[in-house]
Amino acid sequence: MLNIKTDVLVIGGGIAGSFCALEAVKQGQKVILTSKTPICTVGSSISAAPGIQVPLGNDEVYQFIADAVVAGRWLSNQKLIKRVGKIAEEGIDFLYKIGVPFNKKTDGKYERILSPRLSEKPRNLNMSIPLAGPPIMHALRRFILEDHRISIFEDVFLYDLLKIDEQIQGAFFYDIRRGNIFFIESKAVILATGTASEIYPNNMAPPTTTGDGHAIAYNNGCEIIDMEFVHFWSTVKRPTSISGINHHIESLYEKGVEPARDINGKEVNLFPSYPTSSRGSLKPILSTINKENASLNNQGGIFVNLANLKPENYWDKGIFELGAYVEKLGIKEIELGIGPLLCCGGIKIDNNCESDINGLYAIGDVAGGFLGANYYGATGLIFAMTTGIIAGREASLKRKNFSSKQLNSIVANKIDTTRENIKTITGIRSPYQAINNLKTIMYEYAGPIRSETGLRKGLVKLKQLKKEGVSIISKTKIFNLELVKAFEFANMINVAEMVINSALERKESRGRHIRIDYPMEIDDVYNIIIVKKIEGNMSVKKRKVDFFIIQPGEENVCSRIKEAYKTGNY
Amino acid sequence: MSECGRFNNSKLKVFRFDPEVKKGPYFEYYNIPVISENMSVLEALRYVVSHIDPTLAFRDYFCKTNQCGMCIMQINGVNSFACHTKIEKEMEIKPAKNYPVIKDLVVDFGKADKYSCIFDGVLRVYRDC
Repeated sequence: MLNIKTDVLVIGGGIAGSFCALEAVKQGQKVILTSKTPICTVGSSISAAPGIQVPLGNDEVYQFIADAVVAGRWLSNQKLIKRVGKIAEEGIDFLYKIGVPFNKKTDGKYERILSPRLSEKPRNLNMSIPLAGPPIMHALRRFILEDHRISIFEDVFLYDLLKIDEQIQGAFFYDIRRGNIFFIESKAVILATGTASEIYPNNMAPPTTTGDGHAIAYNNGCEIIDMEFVHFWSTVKRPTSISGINHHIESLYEKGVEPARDINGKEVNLFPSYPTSSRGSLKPILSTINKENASLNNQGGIFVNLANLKPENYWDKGIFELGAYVEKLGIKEIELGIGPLLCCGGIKIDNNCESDINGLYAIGDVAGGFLGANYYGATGLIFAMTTGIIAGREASLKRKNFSSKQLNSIVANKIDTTRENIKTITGIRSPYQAINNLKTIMYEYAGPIRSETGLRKGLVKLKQLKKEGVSIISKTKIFNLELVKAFEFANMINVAEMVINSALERKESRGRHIRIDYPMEIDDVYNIIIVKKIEGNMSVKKRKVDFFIIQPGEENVCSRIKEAYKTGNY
Repeated sequence: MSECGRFNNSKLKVFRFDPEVKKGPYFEYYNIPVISENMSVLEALRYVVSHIDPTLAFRDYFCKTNQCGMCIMQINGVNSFACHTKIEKEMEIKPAKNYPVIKDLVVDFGKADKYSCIFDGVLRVYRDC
């Protein structure tokens, strides 16, 4: 049994976790960074687009807060957005310094471009390469591995936290390479475990997004908020080798690809004009699919013929993600579908990124409150970066104040019980089948368009699926990925219940949460939905949103924010 | 690439190695149905692990951007991305060349200097186009 001790423990090796580890080490702490895969390789961070939205300078920060809060349909944590906006530039400067090729003009300032769906003034950074995620991840990985002050634990899976008297003591891990359970003691634990969109089919994020942090924080009594808001988007459904890929249909049309058509060959308009552009191409796809029940029986669906896409365009910006696979796999036609980009909700944090448990922080996609009801495009990256920096600083400050406890017997006990639990895992299906069933249930009953009856049916099916359990055939100790899938399934089914319970509670349609029985957004009622484990059960409650800086319906929000900054009234 | 057109099944010859078992490395054969003509090797391996043999270990991560390098393995003797290599009637799959094997198709990418070789290759892919 290994008993490792450290000052700051960061769980999750994407952009958020990396920035947090680097900041904590800068503050003089001993840091351990863990990841269930090799670090800085395959989290959601890799699909960051080059047009990253970054406010530079105070005026842009004010406008950024206003835009973000409006996009989130007024449910976001305004204090958190303000703190994020203020230090975004710091993170970008660091990335530029370690070699990420953001474009700069001749006067040394960052080149800015417009993003068509967002603000009127150019506020996005630009790169001459088609994707931002890979160079950022590669640069961070190289930098962290060469910084020997950070201890890296790769291929270790977070199993549980240890909390005593509402104070975090550390975390238990399953070592995938060796097949044993071990404990890392730390008074400051930061969850950077990513989003939970793998509970749906056609996931646009990588399959690592199984909501491990959400489920484990929930099991330890944290409040989890905004889980009803799943940001569904238009993606590729078939061929299944590339399902979940971002197809950037506007760029395809620009290069001469024929318009999308339905199963009868009739053209489908993917861009009807809507008041809010964030619902752009979702509705016509939904109505076609719902009408015809697209399936392997070829009874419906929307298709895009790629015959007109020329090989010289395969690696262009905007086409790149799809184009690379079109070239190598010889794809001639794609069928469109709906898939989640991410879950907007997560662990409730204050503007120091701390959760309800003393010493437990949440950063990046696993934290809730920044996005509110909608994903405000191109901001995932700065949220991950800045919350990483904030938590790195706050955790370093706080951890000096806590006394040590005698943990050896508690830890030994927990490790023994965990070993027994793993040996006695019983159920009727394999974890792979269980996860497939979960995805089918979630899309059918808690998909983009929901209803009371549908959600209740889905909840019943989820409970049945959970009861039926999973069984493991593989008895190997080293790299038993079937066992890891079983752990992930346990987390995913808890997250799925959170999504459905929150969706049942929100009796209106707002942002990405659409209910056919409550199709309008209810004004003057601004609540967030919270799930929390109380005496073993999932309790659901509402809490009114605090409008710290701007109020709904206000005119001229920018000057109001400027006033608030000047007077310190926020 | 296959010149003979559509085929319904593919035979995969896959490298197996479990350091706990004294046996040493060997090859195992899997027969899988070809779901679509655009099936990738990664999808084929995913079929193996969810329908035939859950003990096969490989890094099953699909980043959807062709850039993470997690699916790099030797396919018919050449280090390739399993996510964008098209399935053929018969294929030989081994762990990525020049890296220590942890188990089956999982290798240890090690420290920056070794891993950055993969990444330099990946970055060059989109710099040249």
